[in-house]
Amino acid sequence: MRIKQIYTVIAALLAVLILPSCAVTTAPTEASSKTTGKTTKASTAFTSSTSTGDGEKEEVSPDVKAEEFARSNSSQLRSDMAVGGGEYVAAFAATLNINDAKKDQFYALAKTNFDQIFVSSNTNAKEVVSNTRKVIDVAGI
Amino acid sequence: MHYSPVLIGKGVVSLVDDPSFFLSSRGKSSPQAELEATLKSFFVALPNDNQTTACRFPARLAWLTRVLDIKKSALPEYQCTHLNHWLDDLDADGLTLIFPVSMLNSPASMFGHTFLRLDRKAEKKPDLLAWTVSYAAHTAGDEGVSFALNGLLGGYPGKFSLEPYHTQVKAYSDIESRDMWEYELDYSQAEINSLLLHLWELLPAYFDYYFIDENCSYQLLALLDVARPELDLTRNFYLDATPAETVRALTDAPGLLKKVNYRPSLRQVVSERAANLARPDQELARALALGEINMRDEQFNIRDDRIRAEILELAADYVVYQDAVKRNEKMLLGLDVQANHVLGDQFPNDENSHSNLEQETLLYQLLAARSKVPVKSGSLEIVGPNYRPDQGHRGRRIGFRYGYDEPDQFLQMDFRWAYHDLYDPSSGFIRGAQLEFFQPAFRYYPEKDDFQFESVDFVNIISAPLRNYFVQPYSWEASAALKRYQFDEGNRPLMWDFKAGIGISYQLTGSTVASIFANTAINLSNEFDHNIALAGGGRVQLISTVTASWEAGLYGQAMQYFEGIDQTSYELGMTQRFTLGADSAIVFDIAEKREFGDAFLSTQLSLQLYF
Repeated sequence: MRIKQIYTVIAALLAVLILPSCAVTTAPTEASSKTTGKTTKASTAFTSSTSTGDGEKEEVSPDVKAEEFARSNSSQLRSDMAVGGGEYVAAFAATLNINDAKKDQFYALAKTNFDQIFVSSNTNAKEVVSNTRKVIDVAGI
Repeated sequence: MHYSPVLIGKGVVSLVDDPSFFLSSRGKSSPQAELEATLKSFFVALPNDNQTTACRFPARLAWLTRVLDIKKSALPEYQCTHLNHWLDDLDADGLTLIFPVSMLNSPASMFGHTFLRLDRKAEKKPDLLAWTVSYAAHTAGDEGVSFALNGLLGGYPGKFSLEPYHTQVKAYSDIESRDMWEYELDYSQAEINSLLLHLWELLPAYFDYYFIDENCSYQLLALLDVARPELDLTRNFYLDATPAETVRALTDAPGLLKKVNYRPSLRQVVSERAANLARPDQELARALALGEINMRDEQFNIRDDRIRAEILELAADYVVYQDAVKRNEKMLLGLDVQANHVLGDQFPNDENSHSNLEQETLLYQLLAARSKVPVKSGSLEIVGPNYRPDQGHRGRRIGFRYGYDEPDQFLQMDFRWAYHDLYDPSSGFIRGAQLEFFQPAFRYYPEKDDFQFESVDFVNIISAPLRNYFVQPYSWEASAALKRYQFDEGNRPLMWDFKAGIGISYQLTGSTVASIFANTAINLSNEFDHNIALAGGGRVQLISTVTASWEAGLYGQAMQYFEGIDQTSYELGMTQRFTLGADSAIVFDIAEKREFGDAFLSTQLSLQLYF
C-alpha cells in the first residue's frame, strides 16, 4: 500500500505543477529576473544604459542605443540587412536617427554594403555600428 | 474612502505584500491608517525631492489632490527628476496587450502568458524599441516540487519589470517558437499617464505570486483598471485567471480594442517560407542549411535570382531555428543549466556565444550570399489563424451523457475545469494541443439504481505539433487519472492510471492529422500482483475537420501488460463531434474495448457545454 500512497502524492503534485497560468521560469522570465534584480530602485535598471545610477540624465552618444540594439539582435539585424529591409533594420535605423525620407535608401545601402558592415561572422555590435556609420558617410545620407 | 484606484485593493486587504509599499504599519489592511499616513507625509519635505512621498507615490498624490480638492499651492514644491526622466524615456502614448500563445513543453507556460507594451507614436519609434511591462514570479531557480508548492501557495515574490519589446520577441517568437498576438487598446494619454504613475509606485514593490489567481494576467488587468477604473476588468476573476480569459475580458469591454496583430513564430516563418517553394527548391535550401552542399552548387546556381533569394532566406532562417531547437532540447533535458541564462539574454548567434562556430560561419556565408542577390526583401505575407485566442471556446466544460457499456446503460455527468481537448472546436487554439485539468465524472445506472463515482482525470496532455520537411518536433502525451476499469462482469474497481508516450504527427491532407505514439502505462490497484501493473504499447489516431462544425476521429490503442497481470488491453473506436453553437456541442463515441476482462462495446452520446 505504500506505493499507492507515494503515487497519490505524485499525482497531486503533478496536478499542482501544471496549474500555473503564466510563464514563470521560462527563458523570457529568466531574462527579466536579471533586469528586475536591479529594479529595487525603480529607475536604475531601466535607465542604466542612458544615465547614471541616481537617475540624473547624462548626455551619451546616440550610438550607444544603436550598439545596444545591435548587440541583442545581431542575428536578426544581419538577416534584415542581407535582404535590404525588415523590422529590425527599421528599428536600427531609428536608433541611428536616420531620417524617414532616407530610410529606403539606407536599407538598400545596407544590403549592397553587407560585407563591409558585417566583415566576418565575428563582427561585434560596436563594429557593426561604426561600419554602418562609415557606409552612411560615404554615401552621404 | 476606498483603496482600490491606488492600491489595487481587494476588499480591505491590499494585494501588495511588500511592507515598504505602505507608509503606515497597518497599511496592508487599513486603508484609513494608510490614507492618514500618506496625507501627512505629502507635507514633509526632504533634502532630496526624489525621496519624498510625492515623488515616490505620484499616483496617490494625483488621486488625493483630485478627490480632496487639494490646492497645488498648499503642498511643498517637488522636483521629481527621476520620475520625470523615467517618463520621458518611456514616452508612451499607447498600450498593447501581448499574448504569446502556450508552449506545452514547459509546465509554466502551458496557458500562455501576457504582458503589456508601452507604445510610442509609430513615426517616432518602431514597436521593437518600445518598452514592455511584465509581472512575473521570482523563483530563484527552484524546480520541481518546491517550485510547484511555492507557486501555488504564494511563496515567491511577484514583481513588475520593464524590458524592451525586442528582447521579448526574441525570447518567445525566435527561441521558444511561440506565435504572438498583439491587442492594441484604446486608452487616452491621460489614462496612460495615470497607469504609468501607478506603475512607478509598483515597480519596487513585491506581491506574493499565486500561479492560479494572482498571476501575470490578473495583475496586468489590475494595472489596466487603474487607467480606466470604470471598466473594472478584474471583476469576473475570483478563482483563476488564464491569460486567454483575461484577453477575453479586454476584447469584451466596449470600445477598448483597436486592432489585433499576429506575429508568427520563427517555426511558422520557416514553414511558410518552405510552403512558398517547390519541393526541389526546398531540398536545396535544406541541403545548404545543413552544409551538405555549398553556394557553388550547380543546381542552386541555375535558379533565377528570385528563387535563389528565397532559398537562401529559408536556409538562413532554418539554421537559426535548428539552433533554437537544440537549445530548447538541452534545456528540457536539463543538460546545460547555464544555457538557461544564455538563452534569455543572448541569441544563439550573438557575438558572445561562439558555442557553434561552424553554424556561425555557415549562417554568415548564407546571408552574405543573399546580400549579393539583386532582389529586394521578399514580401513574406503570413496570414494568421482565422480565429484569435480570445475567439475560441471557453475553457470550462460540463458534459451530460447517455452511454451503453455492454450490458449496462448509464447516465453520466462530467465537469472539466480547463481547458481544451483535441475534439473541442479548434478555432482560436493551437492545433494538436490538448490540455485538460481536473475532470471528475459521476455515473448513474438506472437499471440497478446505482450511483457511482466514475473517474477523475487530474491531468491529460497531448502535444502533437505537425512535422514537415523542415520542422520536425516530437509529439508527446501524459496523463494521470483515478478511474474504473472493467475486470470480470460487474467488477469495475477504481485504480490509479498513469500514462506517458512519445510520438510523431503529420498532416495527411489539408484537414486530416495523423499521430502515432509509443506508450507506457502504470496502474495501481489491489487487483494486481504487488498492487501494481506495468504495460507498454502504442496508439494511433486520425482526426479530420470535415466541416467547420464537424470533427471526426478514428483511434486505436493496444497495451500489453507484462507486470502485475498478463493481459492485452485494446481499444478501437471512432468519435464524431458536431458543434451546435459557440459554446455547445454534441459528441458521439463508439468503441470496441478490452480492459482487464472480456471485450465489450461502448457507446456514448453526450451534450457538452462550455462556460
